[in-house]
Amino acid sequence: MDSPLFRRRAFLGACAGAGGLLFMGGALAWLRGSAPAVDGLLALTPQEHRTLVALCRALFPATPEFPHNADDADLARRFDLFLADEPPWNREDLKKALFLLEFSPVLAFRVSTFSRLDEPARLLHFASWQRSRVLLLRQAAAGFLRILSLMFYDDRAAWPAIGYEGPIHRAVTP
Amino acid sequence: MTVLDVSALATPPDVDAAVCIVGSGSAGATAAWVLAEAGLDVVVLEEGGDFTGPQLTGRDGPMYDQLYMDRGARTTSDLSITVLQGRVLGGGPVINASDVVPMHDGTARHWVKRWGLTDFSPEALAPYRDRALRDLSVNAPAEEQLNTNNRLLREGTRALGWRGEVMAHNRVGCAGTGTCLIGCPLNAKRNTRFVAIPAALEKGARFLTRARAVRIEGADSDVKTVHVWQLDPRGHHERALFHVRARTVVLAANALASAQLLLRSGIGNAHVGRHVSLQPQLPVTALFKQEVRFFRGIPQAYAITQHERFDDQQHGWWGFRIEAIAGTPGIVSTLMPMGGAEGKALMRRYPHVAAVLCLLPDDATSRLEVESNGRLRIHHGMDAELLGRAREAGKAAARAFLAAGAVEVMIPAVPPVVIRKEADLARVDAMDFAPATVPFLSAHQQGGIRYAPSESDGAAAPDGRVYGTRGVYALDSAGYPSSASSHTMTPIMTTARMLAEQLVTLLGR
Repeated sequence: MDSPLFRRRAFLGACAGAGGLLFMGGALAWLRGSAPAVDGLLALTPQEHRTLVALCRALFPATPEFPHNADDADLARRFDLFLADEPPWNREDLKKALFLLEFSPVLAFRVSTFSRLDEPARLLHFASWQRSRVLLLRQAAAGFLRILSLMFYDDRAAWPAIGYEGPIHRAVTP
Repeated sequence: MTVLDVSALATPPDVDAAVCIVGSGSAGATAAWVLAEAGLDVVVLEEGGDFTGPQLTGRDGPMYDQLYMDRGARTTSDLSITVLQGRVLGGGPVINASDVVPMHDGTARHWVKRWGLTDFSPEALAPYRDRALRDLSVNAPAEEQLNTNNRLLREGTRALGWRGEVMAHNRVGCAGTGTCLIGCPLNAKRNTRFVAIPAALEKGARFLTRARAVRIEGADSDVKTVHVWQLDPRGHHERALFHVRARTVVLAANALASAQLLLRSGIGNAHVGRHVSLQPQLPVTALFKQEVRFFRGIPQAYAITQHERFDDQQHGWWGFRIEAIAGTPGIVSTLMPMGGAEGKALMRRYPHVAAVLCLLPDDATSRLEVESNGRLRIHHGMDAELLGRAREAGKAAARAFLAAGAVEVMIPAVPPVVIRKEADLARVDAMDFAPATVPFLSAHQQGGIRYAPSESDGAAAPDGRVYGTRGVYALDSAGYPSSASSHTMTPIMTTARMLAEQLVTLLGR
């Protein structure tokens, strides 16, 4: 088995495999592109922040009846602050989920990352996670939606649109 | 004596005491009161901070962050159930719905017959239950205190000819802020924080807040050492380790946290962390033409009791129970199954929404696991039988709302299950309840250190002593072999006082 022919085939196979991996890695890096620097992030990288902003905008868009949106609520920044105080295992789980979300359209044979999809496509993609047969994807979707919803609707600027006047007992608000 | 916030100390000193109690809720505060009254030197460790009056701001973000374990984000390992557990001085009663539902005599009889807990007979518990009711200043809500959500549920129940009840509560001076689940800014709950803790302080007990107990050493020695982390002022990060040395350690940190502490310490037998009841709750919402504004007034006052019973041979309390519920916008939004414009449109219905929780007593088959980093994993035991009852409960809730005039009823699952007429109830039968698609909640965790007369059947003796230890006692709901009640505050105060008095005798006081 240790013939020159076999060694050459093995060598060529290894080269092809390595080349394929490099190509895939390069393609993913190209798709991902570079994210703009964001000042003051505590837990997220700029790439993760970009994915999160894209998710927040899809989940909480401005609508005619309810114009207050994810950007108004500074939702990605709030999430970053939240993450900074989480135990390491949760922080890492949520960061991995953001990474997976960013590249999962590629796994669905789309030539785009999540943050490059337009808003309706992002929402559809997120909904596909919610309904996925893969428990991990459903879990990630449920986790993001719950945390971000609580943050969005805790923002007092969201209350007029939902008919809530806020706590009726005037208390010290941090 | 006062409450000491250890996060404010540069270096927390080690502490010596006769008794170290872990947890300051219904069990811990009650035990501290009894033991301090007997002249014992008691120190109580509480992981949360002390929040009263205007510190309870009614804002979801900071309050879930500060008043709940894992900032309100604790879940079962598969994210099927959000597990709500208080983490504040005074424990669960600070953030509960203030319903007073004592253990039914039928459940107590079941514990005697099925589990051999002869000390927990209805007759034995009665004086302690009565004492708990007095301590809670129990009273019935006045008719005008019932908000529209509760009234609609009652209307539907009556229209169907079902049984229901207005639950007693422990509010005095309630002004209907509606923020009970994130604390009462008016201090209108007559709970542990305002009754047992001041009384225990008066008798010399010391309460340390922002103090996270992580390990018990020397459980079979005369003197135990409890390893405690000083937390930062917001309770998120561990700062410095200190120790509490005590001859007796009382676990009263909630069923999950008490069992977690034993598991982290490698203490106890194979039953530790097993036989856990999460008592899952299924939320059901309804849309009405008229404004309901369920977020004002008492959130949870009326219950449909038609489908519960207390004589089940295997479980005692069984069936299901449906109770009105409400919440501030943040927590309500976490139940919504979708984002985007559709999700926002759903939340715009907020003033017209009514809601209930379907409470499902379970089989105590959930179990706990602690990873090497201390992370708690909760593996729930929801089986086909329980999910069958969840479907029946969901349908019953829908029928009650439709009978009260709801335009539509929704189980906020992914995808949402919408019911507008009787024929639509078949959609509930078709639900598969796949993990992480239905927002089940758990608010009354029990078990994990099950009481049993024999070490082969449980983790602790009926007097609370953890098997395999000398002087480590579990006095909270961790010892319960099955769901004690739909609301555990009163049962826990009842049994904690009884067991604490027994402990005083055991300690020769």
